[in-house]
Amino acid sequence: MDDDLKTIVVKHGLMSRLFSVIGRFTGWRTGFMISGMIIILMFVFIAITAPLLTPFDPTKGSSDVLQPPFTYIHIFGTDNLGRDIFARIVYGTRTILSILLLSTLISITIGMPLGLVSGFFSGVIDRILSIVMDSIYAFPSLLLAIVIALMLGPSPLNTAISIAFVYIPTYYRMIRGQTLSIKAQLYIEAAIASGTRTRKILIKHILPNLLPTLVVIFSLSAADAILTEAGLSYLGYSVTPPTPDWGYDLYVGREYVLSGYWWLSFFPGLMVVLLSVGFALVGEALSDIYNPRR
Amino acid sequence: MKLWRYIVLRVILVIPTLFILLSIVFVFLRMIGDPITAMVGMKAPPSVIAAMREEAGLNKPLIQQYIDYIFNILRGDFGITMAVDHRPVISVIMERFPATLELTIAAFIVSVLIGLITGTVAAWKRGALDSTMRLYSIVAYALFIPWFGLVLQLIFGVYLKILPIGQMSDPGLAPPHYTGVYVIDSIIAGRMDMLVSSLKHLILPSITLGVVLSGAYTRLVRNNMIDVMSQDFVLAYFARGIKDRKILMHSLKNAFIPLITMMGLQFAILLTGAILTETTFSWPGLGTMIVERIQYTDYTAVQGAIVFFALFVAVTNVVIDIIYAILDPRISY
Amino acid sequence: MSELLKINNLKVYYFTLRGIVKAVDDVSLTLDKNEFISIVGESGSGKSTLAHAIPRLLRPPGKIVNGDIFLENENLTKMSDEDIRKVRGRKIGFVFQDPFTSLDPLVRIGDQIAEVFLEHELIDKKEAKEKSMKLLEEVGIPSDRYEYYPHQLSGGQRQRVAIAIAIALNPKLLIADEPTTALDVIVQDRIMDLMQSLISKGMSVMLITHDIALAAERSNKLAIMYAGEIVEFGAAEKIVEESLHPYTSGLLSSVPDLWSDKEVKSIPGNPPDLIVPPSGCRFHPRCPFAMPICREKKPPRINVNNRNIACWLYSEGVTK
Repeated sequence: MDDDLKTIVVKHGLMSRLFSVIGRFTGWRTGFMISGMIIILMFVFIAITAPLLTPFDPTKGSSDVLQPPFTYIHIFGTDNLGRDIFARIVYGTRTILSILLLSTLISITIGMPLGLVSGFFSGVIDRILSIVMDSIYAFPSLLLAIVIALMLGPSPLNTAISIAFVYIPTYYRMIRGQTLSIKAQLYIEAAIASGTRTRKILIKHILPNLLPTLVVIFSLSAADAILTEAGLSYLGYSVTPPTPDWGYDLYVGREYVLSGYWWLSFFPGLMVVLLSVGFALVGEALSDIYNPRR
Repeated sequence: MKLWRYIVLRVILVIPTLFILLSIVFVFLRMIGDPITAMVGMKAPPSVIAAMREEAGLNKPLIQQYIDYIFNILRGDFGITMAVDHRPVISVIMERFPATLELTIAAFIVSVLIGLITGTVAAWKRGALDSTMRLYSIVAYALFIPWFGLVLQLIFGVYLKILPIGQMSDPGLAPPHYTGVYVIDSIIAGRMDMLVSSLKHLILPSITLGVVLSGAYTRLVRNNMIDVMSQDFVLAYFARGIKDRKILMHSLKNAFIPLITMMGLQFAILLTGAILTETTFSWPGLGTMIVERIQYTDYTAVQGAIVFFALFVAVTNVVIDIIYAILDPRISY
Repeated sequence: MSELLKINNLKVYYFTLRGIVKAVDDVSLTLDKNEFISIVGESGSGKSTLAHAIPRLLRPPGKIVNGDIFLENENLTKMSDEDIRKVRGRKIGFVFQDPFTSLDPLVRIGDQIAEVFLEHELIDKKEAKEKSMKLLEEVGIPSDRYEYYPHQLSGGQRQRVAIAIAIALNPKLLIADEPTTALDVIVQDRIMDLMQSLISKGMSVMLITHDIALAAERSNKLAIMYAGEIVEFGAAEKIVEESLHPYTSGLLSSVPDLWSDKEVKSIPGNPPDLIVPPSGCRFHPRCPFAMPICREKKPPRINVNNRNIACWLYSEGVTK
């Protein structure tokens, strides 16, 4: 009887899934995947090696106010306080990536167990949770983030929490869906094998199978979360100066941009777009493998 | 006859969702302490804060607050604004709402037009064109609205100087108030110059929001079209020797219905985008209202606007469901 | 010339991620005017692919890689897209297997028929509607149901509508891909009656089916397909009387007979993988008469008494 269980385990195993995935990387998917990964890794690299990339302190002003870009000293120019914009972008990468990481962690920590419980136990708990999650999901994301950010006050940590809330329903739904489908599969097969062991197998099983879908959801919602964070800081509810943040810099730069000092807002905003595109490319390539359409 | 029954049923079904939405807003606004303290923070002495809290009714027990809250909303009473003007919140909302409506509808039209074309091309031709459209979809959605809007403002407003960069119309050319939607009001007033001014001001913001939205819409159209075209009856149309263009039309019609339901889900994204677009283009709508009122720490106005947004989303979904039922002959009621 | 359809060495392959599926591998056959031919085979034999290939209705990743298909001297495989579009509907009618998905759910049945008239003929809407109503009656559906939507009809009725659409322009050839598989036997009988009546109206019918009994009952000629190839081809009556290919015999003996105690034997084994088909004669793993040569070389196609057969049992002059 244990052998039957073993075959079930192997059939749904992670390794076989992995191999079938790698085999399906053809054509445009590879292009998307590679370009996306390059962008993401580039930003990660920038975040890690920030002090090595620029001699300037992003928070310290200077008298070199509103210098134009593309010069040897100030690649992206300086802002209204004389701060080097390239430095602010480089250090700003740290801000956005750490907020992204933190918020994802929180979303998963809350969303996953809830989804697991919902899918596993069904019944009333599932019903209530689903309705609540659906309502949060239907709520305009930026608005939700604003409300929470307002309540908590501006700081990187609180921003991470606000954003986390927006994406909890996304992770919840995914986990719940996976749990339900694996539950259905395994119950049918385990009916032939043993009876009570099913529960333990379920838990041992759902987790490894979750990983691929988790990566897909992460990349797709990361793209969105970056835009939400930037939107939040653009409106002023995210970080406090002088923390370097792309969205906030875009906002501050606006009043100077329309007088001709376009580089104050252009470069920070461009970075937001780039990083979001990077994650979206990876997410698109991956999700097409898991939900292919002929 | 039966259609009425369906509508009533649908409306009744949305009530629990509404309750939950309202409750969520209520809970979130009181999660950590109270909203006034949170918003005002260090900006005012404790006595002022205490007075504001009293005025907003935040000293009452929570249950009492909740009941008052729900009852008032059901009666359409969103409270009185706490900032300078002290007016019914609902009037302020109604003043600003038409502007948001005008922007949203215009952007929606833009995104649907772009999305239909790119999505259909991607689904029909597949191959390299398909991948290009997917790339477009990704990049379009990632165009951070404040940045994208700014770039457009720079190009068309500052350097080329052919389009205005903010507001709804040129000073002095605002149409008299009938609906609040400038384009409509200009037409009602019969003033060409006002119409032109309103339209010119509408172009950049609606394109900004529309292009970003089209990123999502392209993908939707493409996926639905592919689903429809993989069905037997499409092949059957080919077997009958029907022209390609006609087959495309038939496929679109079939794809249209699931598209409509999904458009409802897009609505939340639309509103999110509207907030950023309005602030970027100084567009006097609900989005800018929320941002302004937060700055004035006008708690009742902020809560009112958020509640209104939520209700708007819920109502739109119901309307879409009903339209769906009307359009699909397979649904019997 | 009484020859209507001539297929020469047709090869249709599906280029999938798992490999190249040789669904139709060198198939040749002819169909005369006013003839009823059935292509019989198991699932995966390639019969459906063959049917779809004729009016070039193959979906990617399927492609015609070799061969010609002549319809009254017009080469269908080499035509332009616009030309083949004109052939479809007008010269070839096609009935699909699943009546529940082959009609547009959003268009009324009458209008779907009328659309075919309007597309290919220069008539106005009123005339098209009249013709469609008449056609509905001809296939056995009261013309007052013109305004019905497909979901308001039963499966059998929907299939009749599909047939009406297919024969609207009096095509020379009607191809029906397992038209009755999704329906019950009584309805099946009626639909088959309808199709058979078309022969007298000047059409030829090509029926695709897995049911050899049904095929034998209704057809003039039978083509037995296995693993992408035609293994036996000839007059239906004669094949039933004395089938030559072991696969055909296997099919015939797997048909239960209501009136006798004849033992029902099924063919052992499973249909082969068409990406890597068996060597030599593709049927050899399941053939009770398999000889060493069957595994090594493909049997040549020969004619034995007006019967086209591909089997080593007959090629060396060995009789059963």
